[in-house]
Amino acid sequence: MFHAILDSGKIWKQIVDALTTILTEALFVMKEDGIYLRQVDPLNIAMIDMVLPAEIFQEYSCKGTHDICLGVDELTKISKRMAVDDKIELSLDEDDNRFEIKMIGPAVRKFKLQMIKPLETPRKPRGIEFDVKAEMFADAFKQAIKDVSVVSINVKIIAQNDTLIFTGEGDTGEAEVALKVGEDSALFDLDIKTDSYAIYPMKYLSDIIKAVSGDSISLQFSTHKPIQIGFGIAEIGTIKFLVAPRKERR
Amino acid sequence: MGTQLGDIIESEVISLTDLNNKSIAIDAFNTLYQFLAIIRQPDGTPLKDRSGRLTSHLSGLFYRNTNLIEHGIRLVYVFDGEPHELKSKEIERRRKKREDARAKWELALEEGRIEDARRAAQASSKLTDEIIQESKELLTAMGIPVIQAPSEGEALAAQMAKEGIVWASASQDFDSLLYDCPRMVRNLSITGRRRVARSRSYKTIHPELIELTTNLKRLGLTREQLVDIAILIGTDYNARIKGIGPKTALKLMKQYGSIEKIVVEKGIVLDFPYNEIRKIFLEPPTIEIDPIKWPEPQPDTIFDILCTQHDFGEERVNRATQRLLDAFDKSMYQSSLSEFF
Repeated sequence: MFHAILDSGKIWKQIVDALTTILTEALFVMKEDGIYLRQVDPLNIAMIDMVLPAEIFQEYSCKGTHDICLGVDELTKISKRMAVDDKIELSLDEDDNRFEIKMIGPAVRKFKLQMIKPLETPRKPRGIEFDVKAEMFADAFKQAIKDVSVVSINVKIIAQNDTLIFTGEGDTGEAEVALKVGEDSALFDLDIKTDSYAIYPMKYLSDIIKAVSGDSISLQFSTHKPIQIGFGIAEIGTIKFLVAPRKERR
Repeated sequence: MGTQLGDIIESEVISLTDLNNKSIAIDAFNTLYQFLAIIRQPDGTPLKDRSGRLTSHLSGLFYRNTNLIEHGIRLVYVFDGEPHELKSKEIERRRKKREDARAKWELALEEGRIEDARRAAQASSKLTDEIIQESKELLTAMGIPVIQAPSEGEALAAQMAKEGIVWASASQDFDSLLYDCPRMVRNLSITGRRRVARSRSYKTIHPELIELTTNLKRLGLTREQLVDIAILIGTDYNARIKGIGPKTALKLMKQYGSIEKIVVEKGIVLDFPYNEIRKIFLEPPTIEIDPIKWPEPQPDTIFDILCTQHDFGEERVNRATQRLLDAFDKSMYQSSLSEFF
């Protein structure tokens, strides 16, 4: 049995936006204390790790654990029909193998989605050690990625001393955005164990910044290792993306 | 056609994502026959260029391999060499079957039986030297290495998987297992939504992974016994023993242990050199193979083969070529998360 109510369609839209960035099928694991999702994209380049504690929901009840796999295209189409102030009711029809999304606003609209058989099992949590941890305004990160994307299909992120640098180059030129840690800076915390740099595919980062919904984000990375981009959702929920680095051309 | 071991061999359904970053040796003839059989119009007519030359194989090789490469799968095609002399009967049987199928196709077309026409057409596919040659040229232009086997392609693909040169071999035929292939993938080139014959519905075909050791352990057999079972139920080198299917053969093998004892106990007369056939599977010719290198695709050559020589639509070919180049860039310069945990 699973049943949950969200008092705002906006949060559900944010959740679906995050899934759309890298997935074609979303495998939610409904547990008694909340909803979990951890999946990699079909090319094994990026991973999304989402935790939505039961407290995010105005009502939440779940008996046992349910794996619910839904097509992301279908979820997106339904989320586009939602008004931000609709109340959203989610429930599971175990007999019919369907997931029900009810939008309660001026009208009560109900969508039932056929659940699909997942080909993957949920990924186990993996620990990666990072040499750099940065906390910054989400908007500054979005702007830095957009600036570099003007000239490059990849972004090189460098952490040294008290500065975080986003840089890229392409056939048409070069771009660089530097953020120095400080009180008035958009970069409000930078913890560097060792100076680090790595290159990441712009396509993934460009898609991920569209899904960032919080005011601030955390970035963690190491030289030639994946980057973790984390942000909050509905105050106590978390969404983390992990993106594998590019190899340097010799 | 291979040996019909499907009833006793178990496979695991996987996704293309599971094959990311893995190298696979593809049985070229088996795959080309599949393309020639299934890439056809509703009445069974294969794809052709303006000069009437077949292009179904080129379409299959180009678009389906591009899709696989986009999933980060590294492909190598292994082509058959000289067939063993014992295969001549089977080759003749197949030639006759193709001719019969062609006659049935033409008749069905005349009588307007479209679905029958398509089915008959699928069985009429013939692999010519020209098809083989241009397939090799297109694969090379796509950055897919081509390897020539001394005899059966599956045997060499199995050797490559055994030596760790590739992760697995891909074929529809179970013969790969008889050649001691530790890991084989079925349905690789036909994965996706496919129309169900004689209906308007579609089904999704997934790749399947078959592990030799797991199956031998489960069946309680040695590979030599699996080869004996194959001989009892029919291979490319001998006809099946009447009244013995895979399950009966398995039961007999478990009871008596070898073909010699089974024939004595059951009073079966073998009118073919079963020991020589065993050797074909247990001691196939091997060659030395260097580690595989995947060269960069050549867009100009792809365009020349497909668009200039065979009238493919330029826009669609260019789009797919760009996907291929992007996938090559990813495979060379993009790491995958599995490298880190």
